[in-house]
Amino acid sequence: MSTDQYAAAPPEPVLDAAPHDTPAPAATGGAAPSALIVLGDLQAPACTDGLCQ
Amino acid sequence: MSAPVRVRVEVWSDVVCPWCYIGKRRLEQALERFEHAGEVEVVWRGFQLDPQFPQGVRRPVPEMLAEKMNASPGQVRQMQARVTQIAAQEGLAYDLEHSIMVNTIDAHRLLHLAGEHGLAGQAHERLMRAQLIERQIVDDPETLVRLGVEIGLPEEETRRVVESNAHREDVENDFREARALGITGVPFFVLNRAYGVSGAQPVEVFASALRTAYDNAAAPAR
Repeated sequence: MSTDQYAAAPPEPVLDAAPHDTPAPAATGGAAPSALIVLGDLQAPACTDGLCQ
Repeated sequence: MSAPVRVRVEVWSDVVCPWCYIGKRRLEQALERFEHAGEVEVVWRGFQLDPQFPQGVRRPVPEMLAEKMNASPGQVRQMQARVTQIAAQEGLAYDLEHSIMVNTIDAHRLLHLAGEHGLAGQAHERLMRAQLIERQIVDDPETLVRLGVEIGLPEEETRRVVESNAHREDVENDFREARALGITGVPFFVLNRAYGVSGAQPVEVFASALRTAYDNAAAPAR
């Protein structure tokens, strides 16, 4: 792992990205789906396992 | 009468996570620009960044990071300087160099109490500020009670929750839900359980996500 925790974002996606034009499920607020449509950059800075990338 | 909720934004976050506070600010900015903000509900979910960090142990964050990453103090300072600079752009004056790492289970239990009182957003704001800006110790019971009272929680009830194990299951349930959704890092934003936004994205990404969720919501979310 990089020692630059705040600079080097890991390449690993946290979720499976789907095309942005995938038809959206209806808003329910109910049971969790098995996958989400991920918007934006998967490598945006975030904290994982006690480390912040 | 308030408008029905059409977009529910669930935010998984930890109070010791510097990117979470930045992400919170950016989401807020996106909401300020969103003409349907009155139909958006923000729900805060707990996520312990390091649940294995022993309860009762307090360590300077730079020291903890240096050990965990096998980095020199200078490298840690450099990393923290970068996130501090980005936080400053959002008006957040981080003091990461003097922040203290603790187990955040008690803070999350307090956040759930705040949620019961409709004060979850205020509680997240206050605890993040305490941890990331004010060098406060957010596993200290007296500190948690004081911060809870500051945002309007009743002191007796707050003390009872802080000094017990109340809401632990709620915190664990948040974590389980995060895992079920595939969330491994925070901040993470879930809109209508359909869309995910990972990390401290630019305001424009939050704005676009709100628009997408709103436009695709078949019906009010409750």
